[in-house]
Amino acid sequence: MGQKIFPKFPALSKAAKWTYGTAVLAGACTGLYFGFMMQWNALKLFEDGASAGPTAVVDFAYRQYWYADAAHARASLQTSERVLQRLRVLDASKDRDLSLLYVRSAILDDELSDTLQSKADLDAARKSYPHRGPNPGDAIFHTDEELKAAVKKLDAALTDRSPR
Amino acid sequence: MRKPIGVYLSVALVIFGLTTWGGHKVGAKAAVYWNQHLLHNKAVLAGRDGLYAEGELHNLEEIGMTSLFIRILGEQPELRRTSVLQQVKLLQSMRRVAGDSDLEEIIDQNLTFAYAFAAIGEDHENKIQAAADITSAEKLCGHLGWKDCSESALRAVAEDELSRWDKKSSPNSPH
Repeated sequence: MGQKIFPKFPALSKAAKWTYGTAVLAGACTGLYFGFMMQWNALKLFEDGASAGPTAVVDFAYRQYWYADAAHARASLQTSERVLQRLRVLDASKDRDLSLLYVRSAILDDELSDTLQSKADLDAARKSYPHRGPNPGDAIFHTDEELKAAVKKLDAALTDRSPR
Repeated sequence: MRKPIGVYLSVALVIFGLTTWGGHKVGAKAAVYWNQHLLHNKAVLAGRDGLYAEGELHNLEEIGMTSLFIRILGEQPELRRTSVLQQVKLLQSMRRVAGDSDLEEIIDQNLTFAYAFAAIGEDHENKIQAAADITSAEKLCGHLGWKDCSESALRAVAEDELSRWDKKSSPNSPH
C-alpha cells in the first residue's frame, strides 16, 4: 500500500510513508473543513446582515430622498422598489428596507399633494413589513401619521439633519 | 541508517501544517463557489426574472463593495484615491452596458459621488483633473434631479459622506 502511494520514494521506510500519508490526509481534511465552514459562516453572516448589493440600492434611494427634488426623488424611490422587489426572488433584499422605502415615498407623495398615492404607499409599507410588537396584533404605529413621524425621526437621527 | 522518530514526527508536523493551510484555502474557495452555485440554482428555478435579478445583484454587489472600500479607507488616503479611480473606471464601463435599465440611475448617482471623491483627492496634485471631475459630476447631478448641483454643494455632499464614515472608524468616535 505504502509503495502504491509513494512509488517514487523507495528510500522511505514503510512507517515513514504511513506517517507522512496520514499527515497529508489529516491536514487536508482539517484545512478543507475549517476553510469551508469559516468562509460559509462569513458569507451567511454577511447575507443576513447587510449584503452589499441591496445596500447599494438602499443607499441610492436614501441619497435621492435627501438631495433630489420631490418628483425626482419619488421616481428614484420607485426605481429602488422595483429593483428590491426583483431581488426578493433571490431572497437578497429585506422586507424592512422595502417598507422604509414605501414610507419615504409616502412622505414625498405628501409633498407632491398626492394623497391617494401616499395612502397606497403606506399600505404597501405595512404589507411588506408589519411594524408589529412582540405579540400578534400589536401594532406599534397605529396611524399613518405615526408611521411617517417615526421614519422622519429615524432619518433625523441618522443624518443629524432636520427631517424632510 | 535509521533516523530518530523525532525527525519523522517533525517532518510529519510540517506536512500537516502545509496541507492544512492548503486545504483551508481550497475549502474557502469551495464555500464561495457553492454559495454562488446555490444562488444560481435559485435564479434558474425562478426563471427569466431570477436570472435577470442575478445579473443585477452581481452588478449591485460590485458597486456596493467598491463604495464600501472607499468609505472605510479614511486613514489611508493614497489607497482611497486608487479605489476611487478604480470605481470611476468600473462605473463608466457598467454605464456603457447598462442601457436604459433601472441600474442606470443607480450607476449615475454612484458615479457622481465617485467623481466628487476623485476631485477632492486630486485637489492638491492635479487641479485641472479635479476641475474635470467636478464638471462630470455636475453633468450627472443634473440628470439625478438634485436641488443643488453647484461645485460647492457637490464637494460638501461628498465630504459629508466621507467624514461620516471617517468619524465612525475613528477610535475617538463616541459611537
